[in-house]
Amino acid sequence: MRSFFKPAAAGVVALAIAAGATMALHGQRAEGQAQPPAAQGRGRGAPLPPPEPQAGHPSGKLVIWGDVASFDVPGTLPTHCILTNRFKRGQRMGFRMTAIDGGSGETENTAVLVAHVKYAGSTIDVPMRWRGQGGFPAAEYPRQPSEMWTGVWVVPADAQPGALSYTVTATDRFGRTASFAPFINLVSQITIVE
Amino acid sequence: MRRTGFVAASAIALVCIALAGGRATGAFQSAPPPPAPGTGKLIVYGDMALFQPPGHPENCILRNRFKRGEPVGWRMFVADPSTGKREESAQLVVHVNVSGRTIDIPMRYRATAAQPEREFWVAKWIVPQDTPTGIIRYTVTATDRYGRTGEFKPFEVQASQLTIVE
Repeated sequence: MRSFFKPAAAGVVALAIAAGATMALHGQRAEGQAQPPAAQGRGRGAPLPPPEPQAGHPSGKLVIWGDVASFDVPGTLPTHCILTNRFKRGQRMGFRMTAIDGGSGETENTAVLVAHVKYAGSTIDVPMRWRGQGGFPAAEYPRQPSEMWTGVWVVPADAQPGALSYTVTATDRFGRTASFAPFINLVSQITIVE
Repeated sequence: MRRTGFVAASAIALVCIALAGGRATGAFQSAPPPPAPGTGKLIVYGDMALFQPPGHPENCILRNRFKRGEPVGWRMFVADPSTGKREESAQLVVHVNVSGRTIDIPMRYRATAAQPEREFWVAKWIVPQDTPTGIIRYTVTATDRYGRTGEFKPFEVQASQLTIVE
């Protein structure tokens, strides 16, 4: 019997440690979702560690907003990062967003944002990357753009001209959610042009 | 002895689970109460567009590069920080810094009885003919009936600043 209980006790401990490790890992993943897939975009390497907790967060509502811009590359192109809502086939449509902790008015850097583009009868989810970590081109930004998230969608070569709609949704580590839709004016919706 | 060993193992297991569980779920613990209505800072945001007259094919397209004589348009929204909803009492002003001086442009609330869905504020500024080319800085401030204030600044990206071009 003794020989039965010893393995049993050891088994309980092993199970508990495994369960604990799984739960802790799950928590890190949730926080780390703000990181982009390593293979996307310019100059991205391995995911960076989660940002430090921000004092006083959460407070109030999570609010997100932003705009669209041409993300033409290389960054030296004259159309790189200019505001526009008209894009040609093959052009890089850039979504730029921020997430605010309503009570403090500060950037909520744990927010995970996804742009949702309605295209050809389906919804394309464009994951966004928080720009508060990692390198940034000093020629484009006077400082680390820690208030900004970006995502890119390349207009397909066979896209039909016309307006598309999009929304952006966000979730932060506190479970708050938010959504954003551009102003309703038809002319300023994202539009594919010849 | 056997029982003691099992109890000890169980206790260790419980401690492990409690510690890890606390870490994993701590992020989703109940949030502190939101700021009371009428407190906090207003959240102001929006974009910039070409404000040609209605019917013009380029009216309301998003832009940040303007020529002299073109109408720069701002469209802004003000959110209450505790609800995220529009603060309808807000009054907004665009502050454009041109050639060393600041021009204040009051914004007007765009929704009307006929177009109630236009829940944003607008302002227009026609670029003067003597404006030098280059980046022009601007901010938008808001104040509401509770005395709350908020400020909008565009993303700090050089290429997407309000820019006057030839």
